[in-house]
Amino acid sequence: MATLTQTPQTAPAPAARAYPVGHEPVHNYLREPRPADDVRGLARAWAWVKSWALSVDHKRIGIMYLVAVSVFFTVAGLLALGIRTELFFVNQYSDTGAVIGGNIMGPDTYNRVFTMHGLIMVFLFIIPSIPATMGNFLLPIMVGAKDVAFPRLNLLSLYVYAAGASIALWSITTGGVDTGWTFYTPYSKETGTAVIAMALGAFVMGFSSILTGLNFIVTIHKMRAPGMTWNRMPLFLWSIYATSIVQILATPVIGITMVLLVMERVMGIGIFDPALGGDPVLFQHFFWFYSHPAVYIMILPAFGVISELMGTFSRQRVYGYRAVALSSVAIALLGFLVWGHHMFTSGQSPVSSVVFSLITFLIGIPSGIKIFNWVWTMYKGSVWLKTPMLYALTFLFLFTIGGVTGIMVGALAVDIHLHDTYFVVAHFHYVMMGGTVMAFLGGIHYWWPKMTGRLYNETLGKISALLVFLGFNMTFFIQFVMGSQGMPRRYYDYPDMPWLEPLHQASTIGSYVLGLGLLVVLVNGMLSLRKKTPRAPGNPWGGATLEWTHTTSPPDHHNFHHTPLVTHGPYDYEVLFQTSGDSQRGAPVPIVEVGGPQEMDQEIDDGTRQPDSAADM
Amino acid sequence: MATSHSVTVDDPHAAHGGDGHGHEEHMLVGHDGQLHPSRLQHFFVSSEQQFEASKLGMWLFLSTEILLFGGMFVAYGIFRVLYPELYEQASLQLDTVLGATNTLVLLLSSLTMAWAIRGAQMDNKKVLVGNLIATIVLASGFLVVKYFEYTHKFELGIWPGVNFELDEGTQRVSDLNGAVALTPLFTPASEDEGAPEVTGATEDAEVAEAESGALGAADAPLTGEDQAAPSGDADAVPDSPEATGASDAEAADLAASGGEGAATGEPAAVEAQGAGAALDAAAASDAAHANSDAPGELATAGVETEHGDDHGSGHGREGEIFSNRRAGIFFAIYYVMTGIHAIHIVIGIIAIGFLVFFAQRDHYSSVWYTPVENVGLYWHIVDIIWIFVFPLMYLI
Repeated sequence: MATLTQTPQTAPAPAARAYPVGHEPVHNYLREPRPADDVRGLARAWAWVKSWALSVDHKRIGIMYLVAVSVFFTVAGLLALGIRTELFFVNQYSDTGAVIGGNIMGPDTYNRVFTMHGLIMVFLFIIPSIPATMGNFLLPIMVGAKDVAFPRLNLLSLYVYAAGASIALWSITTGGVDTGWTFYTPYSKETGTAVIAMALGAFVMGFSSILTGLNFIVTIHKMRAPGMTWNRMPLFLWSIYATSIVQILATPVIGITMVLLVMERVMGIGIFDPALGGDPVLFQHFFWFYSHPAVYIMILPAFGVISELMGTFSRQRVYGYRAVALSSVAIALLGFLVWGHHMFTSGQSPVSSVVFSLITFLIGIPSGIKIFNWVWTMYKGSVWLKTPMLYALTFLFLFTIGGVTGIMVGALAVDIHLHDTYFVVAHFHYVMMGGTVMAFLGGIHYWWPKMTGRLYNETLGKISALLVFLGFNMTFFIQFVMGSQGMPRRYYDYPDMPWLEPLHQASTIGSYVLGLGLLVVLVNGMLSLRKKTPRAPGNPWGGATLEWTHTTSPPDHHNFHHTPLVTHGPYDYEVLFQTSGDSQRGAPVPIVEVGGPQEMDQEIDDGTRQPDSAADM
Repeated sequence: MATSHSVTVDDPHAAHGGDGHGHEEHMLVGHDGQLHPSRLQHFFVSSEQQFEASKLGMWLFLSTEILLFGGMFVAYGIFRVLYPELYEQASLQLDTVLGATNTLVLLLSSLTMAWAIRGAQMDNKKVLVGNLIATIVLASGFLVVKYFEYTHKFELGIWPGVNFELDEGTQRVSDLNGAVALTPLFTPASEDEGAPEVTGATEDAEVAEAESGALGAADAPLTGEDQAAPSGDADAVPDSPEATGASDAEAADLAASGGEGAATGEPAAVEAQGAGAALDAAAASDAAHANSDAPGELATAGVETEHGDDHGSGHGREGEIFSNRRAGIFFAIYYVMTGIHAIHIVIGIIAIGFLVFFAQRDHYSSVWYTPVENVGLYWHIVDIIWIFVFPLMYLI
């Protein structure tokens, strides 16, 4: 351990400027390295491309992930709109049974569209959404490190992800896949669609997920700044840590499952094929042994984002810090023991169904702990309803519904009735979209100033939050009703249930509203990147974690000009800003200018000081 | 801006560069103007931190390897429980001597790998490089043995899954597809009770006839969806006496498996002979595959089964496994497990090859030998996985 020395605070940051001397934006990660002035035209563009494509900077990698997942989210979202549009009307059939109206696509196309929607959303969007974008960008900064432990591996994981996504999308050119995202055998063995390409794509993307998780665990274990004890880690880190455990331990199983599925199709190895004595239920066990923990890969990072938002925008310490932190780990571990609740109707033994059902109920406990603690964090706090907080409240509302309906379908007797109906569809959309995507949007709005150095339009942000909230509930709440009335999922048409038509129509209209809201988010983000948008201050929300208190917006190339010495918890707002929700109720939240050293924090001179920092001049 | 720096005493890069063995590490000037050990990347504070991070990363990677193979071990275990007789018969086909040889070879290579790491720790380049090369040689020897094992099995027609060549001629299981109305795994108990007992001699013969009739439907498309089971097609079968003889052994086997309980498939074939009795859905579609072709082809197909058997003697095709229609499953697991293990060996050889390349150029010393250590860990896990594969596949 290096000697601790108190840095003399001889040159405090000038209050009038957004950036202290030596911390001007020219040094931030978005602006360097720049080619020489005489490099012009294509050569300059190529240099710019290379500076991104070959960058091992975790921040640039996070931004590249963000662009990629946004593209895939858009593609899969448009497919979802196609599904909803198809279901707008009951199809009309001629006497011979041919469809003569009410449809926009044929049944085979429909099967492929909903399958591709699911596959792209799950493997290309949700799984990398928060960990690979915000995790990559923020995790090293939050632990006070200069980068993740293995930066080149990090870049490799981006390219592995891109390769896997390319293979998966290539399957569309050969007709797509129509198995549903679950690839159930024996249908996935028999169907003539491009299962092999899609399975290989999922296999390759699994490597990316493993490498990211591995990198994060090592970074958290080995690279925390001095003073950053486990109990001072921001809750976002705890949830990313729990996520990474799941990524590492579950993903290899989907890998081998996909390999076996490809072998089954190529060589007919027979272990999933009942015609050869194989066991299709074994495939389901393999698949869900990964894919149920994968649900927690999707939702756990969202919990972390919400914890950050609740603390910052309530101006209060997150209540029950340890309970919230450890409940993430508990969810990660319990999540490995509940996969059988996807298979209540598969013919597995009744005893195991009962056990799986019981553990499914148990996993509601740590989830409930989080909800209660977040609500208690807001209680008597000075709640600041900025756009990220609106998304956080949306999350709280929607995830609670999604979680409670999860307990409902986790009950054996109820699930027999609701299995494979729209009720299940609505349930997992409330968790995946109402949970993860809301947290993703909230987190993107929260950290947008940090990532880009620009402030987005608050009014547009609030409009988008409102549209997303209304559109989402309109789309999916109705599906609970439809599902309980027996509307099966994945069906192309519902000629026997014409009374559901108005409900389907309302759901479809809701999906358009939801799409409009997401479009507003996109437009708002793009508008904020214009040159005339105001620069973001270092700490526009008054956050207390290291990315707000110790770096500029956007951060320096090496994150910090000095390795920070952490002397307080991640939510000690009263220590940092002499404010807390209880005593400062209704008081305006301070906009804190942060650039270089903070007055209230000690610095550690570990020899890594940058030559351009102000104190060295 | 570009202020020059002098190295301070409390600079951790300088203070923690060595390992206490008295070896001064080569120092470089980094882009931040600081001196640091040549192997220390800028985002680490000290060499210890970097080494520990690498090692933890490697251990985490190894845990993913265990889970990757864990999936295959689970498949192995499940089918072992479901078809114990299959595993007994099939493991007799694996050459225990070759397997044991390979086990010894791998154990020895783990020793040389560990020795190589020791060589790096002792700054002994000769020990390091020599042992690395020895490891490569042993690993290659493992692959050579594996090659002979595989090719021998291919010659015998022991292919994984659907391509396994059964004793009914050169027919592969794939040719029998559809006719192979194997036992569904999760048949409700009531159907078990309803299934006719296939024990009597006459019924045996009937089953054999039905089966050979099914063999005749070899041309049936693999993925045929036709559900219409033209009952009575199998009536043509008793007219071809050859078929009865050819499938006698098979009938006995089927009778045995019928005794296991859930024998809906075979009895379905029996019933199809009659007047299309009510079949359960799965059996019905299987029977449909069996009977979907024109009955005229059945006789010729029966003749083919008589003459096609050119594997009968001299090639080591002995044992009950060659009439076990689930044989392909065991060998699917065998080939997938040993194949993926062999891929890991190949990756290991390449990695050790890189180590040799850099060790020749003095990249490793007692101060910095992280890649040697990590590749060594990887090599040990590959070894350990084989230690589990060998007894499970070859011995029990």
